[in-house]
Amino acid sequence: MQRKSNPTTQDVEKQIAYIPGAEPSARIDAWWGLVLGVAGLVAILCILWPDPYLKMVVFMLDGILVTILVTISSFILILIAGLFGALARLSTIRFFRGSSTLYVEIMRGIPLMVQLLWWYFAFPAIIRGLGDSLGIPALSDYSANAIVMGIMGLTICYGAYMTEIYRAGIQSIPRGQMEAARSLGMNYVQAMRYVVLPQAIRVILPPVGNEFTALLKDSSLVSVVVVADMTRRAREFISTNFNPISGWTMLALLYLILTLFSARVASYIEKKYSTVQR
Amino acid sequence: MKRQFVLVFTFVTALSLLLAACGGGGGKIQVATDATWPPFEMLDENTKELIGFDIDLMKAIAEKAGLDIEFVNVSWDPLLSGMATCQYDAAISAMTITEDRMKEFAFSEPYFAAGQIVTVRIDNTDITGKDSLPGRKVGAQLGTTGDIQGKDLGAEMKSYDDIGLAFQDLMNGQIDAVIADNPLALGYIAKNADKLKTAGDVFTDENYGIAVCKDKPELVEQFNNGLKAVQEEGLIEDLVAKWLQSNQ
Repeated sequence: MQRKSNPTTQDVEKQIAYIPGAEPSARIDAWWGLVLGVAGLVAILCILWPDPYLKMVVFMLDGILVTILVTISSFILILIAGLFGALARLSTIRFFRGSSTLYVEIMRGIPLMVQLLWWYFAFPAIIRGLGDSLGIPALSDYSANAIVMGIMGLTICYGAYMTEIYRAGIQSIPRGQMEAARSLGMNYVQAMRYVVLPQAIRVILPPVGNEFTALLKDSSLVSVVVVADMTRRAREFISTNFNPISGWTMLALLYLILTLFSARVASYIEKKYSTVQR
Repeated sequence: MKRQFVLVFTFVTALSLLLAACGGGGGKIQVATDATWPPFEMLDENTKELIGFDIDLMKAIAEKAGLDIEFVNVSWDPLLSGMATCQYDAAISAMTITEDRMKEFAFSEPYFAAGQIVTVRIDNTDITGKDSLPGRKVGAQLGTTGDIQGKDLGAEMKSYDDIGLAFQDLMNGQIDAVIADNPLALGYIAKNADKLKTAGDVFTDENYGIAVCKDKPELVEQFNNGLKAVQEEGLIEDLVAKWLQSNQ
């Protein structure tokens, strides 16, 4: 018997104890290196050429915060909207099912950018028009806050996609699970809460993580409705510094850091949930 | 047989891409403009062609100088960075000659004098001019001199993709004022006389020039000669009468 090396007892113990994905270090995979790599590249650019790179990052700081704020707050709302949308879509009550399906079909059929423009430029005008014709001063003086409208537009659009993801997740759980829970005396809400949803979460986590990354990127569209996010700040910087190469490259790198980081966090959470279930 | 087909297909595709890539330049001088700035440059609603003061002027100059030009309609901030990187040969887009811009590209002689003016809603009484602006929500088009002026004044600037959106937001009551070039602002006010008015007087002295890419200094001279020739013919006055008189 030729062996390249004899495993030590320690190695053997490790092998015996090894459950793939069980130890916390396994959840932090090699792809974190990519996040660090891109972050390092940005840092190097900033150190080597403070003008324009560092100047640009400093100028964009508030925009980066706005992008993160808009993404996270709309994502929380989207998770809630998606859950209610999916429950309505799977409801036996025709009215709920119909209105949820209508919502999904309409919102998925209109480009996000058009929706954002509509919410910021058309919706407030409609409200004021209503206020004028009904004689309600509170409505006539309505003025929209750009960030609020941006978050609302993103939520309403992405809520439709999220509804479908939740629905697919819930439907992937065999009907018997619900029936078994109900036969044990649980009501519908309890059966959903304790039996179906915990299992559905494992199925929907990967696409939900995907949606977060997509949302982060699409949040750049709120810049057209005067939200001073990363993209708008970058455009402002480039328009006064006339340096498209470094400007757009830096913006791309900053988005890349955020999306790669959020993808890693999503994958961490996914692995954590999948081990719990094993 | 199949392989031969693939080979021929690849070759033809590559060739057509190559031709398309070369054909783009075509020897015509590419003049960029942001056609969202009436009455200097805009799209004709019916024909979808570029029209306006600048467009007429540029065509006349090109004719005098014997240049073959081609307009490229592009948003304002890519227009600025595109000029700095010589993506376009020239730009005529009601562009104010500023020191910062002169570092990045060349300019022709000035052809029109304008200035910034504040526009407010008709029922507004507390904004009386530029000095009322600090701390207010003020709109302007991204990267324009109005945007720069507003920031210098300490207003809370909102920058829009095009100036039309800023005026719309002002009418919607979501911002307090708009800073823009006076001929343009007066045009919007004339169209919405029941909703908008100016506040205070024109508060800057600016000159519009034709921007020219730094790698094409010979164009500056050609444009200047053409400009001089059309100025001597009184074209500027004609264009003012044609495009601006109705507003003022």
